[in-house]
This record gives sequence, C-alpha cells and structure tokens, in this order.
Amino acid sequence: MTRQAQITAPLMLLLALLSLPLGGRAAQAQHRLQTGAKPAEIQTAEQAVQVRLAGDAAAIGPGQTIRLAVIFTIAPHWHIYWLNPGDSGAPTNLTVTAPEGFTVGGTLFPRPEAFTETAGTTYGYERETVLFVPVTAPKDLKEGEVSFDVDIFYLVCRDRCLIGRAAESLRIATAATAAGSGPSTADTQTLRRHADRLPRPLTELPGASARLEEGLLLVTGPAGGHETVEFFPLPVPGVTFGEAEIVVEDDRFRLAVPFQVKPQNALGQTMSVRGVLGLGRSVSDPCYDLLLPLESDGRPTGAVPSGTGGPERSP
Amino acid sequence: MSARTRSKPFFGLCLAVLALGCLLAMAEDEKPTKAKIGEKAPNFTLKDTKEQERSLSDFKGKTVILEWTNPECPYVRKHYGPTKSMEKTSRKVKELDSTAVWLAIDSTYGTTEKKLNFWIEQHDIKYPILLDADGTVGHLYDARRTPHMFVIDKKGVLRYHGAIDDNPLLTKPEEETTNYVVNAVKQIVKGDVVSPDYVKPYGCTVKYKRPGPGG
Repeated sequence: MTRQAQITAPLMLLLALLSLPLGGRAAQAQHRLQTGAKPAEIQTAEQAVQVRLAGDAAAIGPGQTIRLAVIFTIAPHWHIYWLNPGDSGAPTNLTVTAPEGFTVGGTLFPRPEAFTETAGTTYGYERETVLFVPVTAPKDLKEGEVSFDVDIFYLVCRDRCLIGRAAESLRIATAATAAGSGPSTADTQTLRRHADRLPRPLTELPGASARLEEGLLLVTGPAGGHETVEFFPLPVPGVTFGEAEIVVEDDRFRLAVPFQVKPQNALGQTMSVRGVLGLGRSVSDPCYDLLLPLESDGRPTGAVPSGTGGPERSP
Repeated sequence: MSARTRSKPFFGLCLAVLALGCLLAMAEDEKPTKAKIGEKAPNFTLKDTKEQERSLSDFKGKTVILEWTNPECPYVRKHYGPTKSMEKTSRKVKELDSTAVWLAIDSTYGTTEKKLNFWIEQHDIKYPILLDADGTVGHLYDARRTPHMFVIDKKGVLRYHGAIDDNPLLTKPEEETTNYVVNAVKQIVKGDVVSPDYVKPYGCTVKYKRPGPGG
C-alpha cells in the first residue's frame, strides 16, 4: 500500500462514519421541509405523502390531448405502490372526472423500483413520482376554462401501512385553436423527468422480440451496455407468474418468465401476459412495455406483442 | 497398510453419510405440504386468545374459513370498522352453511393475546383469533396479506384463497361488491366447481418475523 493510500483509507472510513448520522439528519431535515413532521411523528398518510395535481400544458385546444399529472412527494423510507404492488401493498389509483365531451385515458405508471419486504418483493416508488392521465378535448371545444377533478387513493408503507386519499382539482384554460396549448407549467422539469420513465413499446427497442411458448414468456434483445435487466410482472386476473430467469451475455439479454393461465379466475376480463422490461436497475434507465394477448381459453392469440406506451389502468 | 484395512473407515463414513441422508430425507417427508388449491389443507394446531388449542383437524366434516388478520392493518380495520364487511361475510357464510367454522389467524411477529382480546372486545368478534407469532402456519398457507382468505370444504380440501372481495379501494357500495368467500361457499354448498378459486388478495403485508442472519 502506498503512503497516500495508507492515509486516505482511515480518513475515508472516518468520513464515512461521520456521514452516517449526518446523512440521517439531512434526510430528516428534508422530510421536515417536505411534510412538516419528523419521520417518527408520521401517524397519517397525509404526513407521509404530499399530493399535487398539475398539467403538462397550461392550455388545451380542440381535439388536443394533454396529460394530467399527479405528483407524489413521499417521506424518506416510505413508499407507495405501482399498478402491480407485488407480494403485498395496493396499487395507487386515480379516478378522473372530466368535463363533458372529454375523453379520459388510463393511468400511466413510470418504471417502478423493486423492494424486498418480509412478505416478498413489492414494486413501487420512493421519494417522488408522477402518475399521468391523458385527457383529450372534444373537437368543438370553446375558448374559456375547464376543470378536472382527480380522486387519489394510495397505500403508503414503511414498517406499517397507511391508507391515503386525496381529492385535487385543476383548472386549465381552453383555446379556440389546437395550436393554443400555451406556455409550459411551473412543473415542467419534474413532469419531463418522470414522463421519461414511462415504459415505451418494445418495438422501440431495435433487435428485441417477445413470444409465448409453452407457458413461458420469452424476450430477447440488446442490453444497451447494461449489466442487468429487470422484469416487473403485471398479472391480470387468471394469469400468474413464476420467477423470471434473466441472462445478460455479450450485451444481449434473454428473459424467460414462466406463467400459468387459469381462465376460470379471469373474472370475465380479457387475459394477457403483461409486464415491464427494464434495462439496468435505475428508474431512469430505459424500460419497455410488454403485452401479449391470450384467447379466452388461455392460448396465445398469435398477435404481435404490443405496447401502449406504458402500463395503464383503464379509466 | 493394506487396501482392505483402509476401506473399513471409508465404508463406515459412507454408511454414516447414507444414514444422515436418510434422516434428512425423512425430516423432509415430515414437513407438512404447503396449502394448494384442490388438495388437502395442511393441518395445524395453534392457541387462541383464551389459551385454547385449536387444530384444523378438530373441524373435520365442516367447512372452515381461515382469515389472516392483523388489527393494526388499515385494510383489516376498514373491514371491521366502517363497512363491517368481515362480520357480514361471516354471517352470510353461516346462513349458507350453518356448521361452517370461521378461524382468524394473526401471524404478526410479536402479536399478543392482550392486543387481540382488546380487538375482539372492541368489535364483538364471535370467532376465535389464533396466535401464530412465529409465522409457521402463515408460511404453510403462504398467507401474503391481511386480510387473506382461505375456504376449506367439508372434505378438508382447499377450494379458494385470495381476496375477500373485489373492493380493494374500499369505496364500492356493498350491493355492487362481489364477495369471493361467499361466492366460494355458495358454490361448495351447491356442489359446483369453485370459480374463481384464486383472486389476488389485497391489503397489508403479513408482518412476519424477519429471517435472522443465515435465513
């Protein structure tokens, strides 16, 4: 070991030890700033999560689609859940009430993180996330203002869980022409950052393919320099998943996920094999939506796998 | 040393390894099989909050409903509190099958009789709550959430497990809610196939004892 290394190593250790309580204090200070309560004082969901409604445009024109965005600011160490919460938890849910003539799309969920809890693996969001809902104006939209109401339901957990509900409204100016979407909102940066984390259709990953074969979902493609690949299953009623097997070799990934289909448990809904494939491990790494439809008896339809631009819950 | 004398301890070692293997295999055989739809529900014995031992086998010939519970879970509190849906479900099950038995199980690490007795009194709960603080029975049934419901028929076969109903947001009016436990018992009484036999349960994580170092 060189002399410089001999000095640096204990210094680094000391700094690391010092940084632990400092980091904790910094996190607490940040939390107080966000929610006005120390982590130990959190007793209600509202203390753990702040919810705000924004739009990705300041105005909407006839026939135009904008996205309503619910911004969740979550206290340190707490998390809310993805569309598939995993082995426990509950999906975050948005219910939008729009003015007459508007069309409301399904909720779009950005790439989640996987958490290991005693009950198994769960999927969700820490610190901050944004869920989007596209809304499309009618073609005969008049100039003025419209209002959207969003009912928000979430379960926020740490070592215990709290149910949270919120109701938010947003007024947006309407323009007489489609070009009149107006200036961007104050939350532009936040919304853009999270919109970039929405899964894209797998067709946007050149060289990737997905198919169903004898109870296995098989996906291959380029790993784009990432050493790992994640799979977030989206089981629909009647379809259950086993453990995914992932191999990354020579900058290509191979994913095999066993699944079981039981049409009697479909609850009358259309069955499909769905999930999100994430390159790398970070929520900001690219991710892709997988949707392979099944017949009512559980056989693959043979249709080309599609992606909707993000897993979504029907409005 | 001859080859013959060398082989004696070697032979002995082989026998010991074999015997150990057999013992391990036997121990493996003695492990109760995990609960599975269409198969015999594994037996268990747990104490209730009055220190009385209850075994699944005590209720042979009866329909048994198992409800994984935790009074600290907000979902459980909703089902017992404002909606009273748990109480209503147990009542409807009794109407369909008067001999049906309802057992609630708390696999929360550190759960206590005192806490559960307070909960029982607070909500006037008529059925026993069994304590499974080390989570053995919870893991045997692979109970994931609270509430997580299991319906066992009179032959002791597991016929349904999963969500209590289709109201995970807890906002649907009762008349628009499908109760999967009532649905399963209705089908069992009629002699029909239980459909659905699994619906993903919603609720809190079962707060099992965290595995220590090494598992």
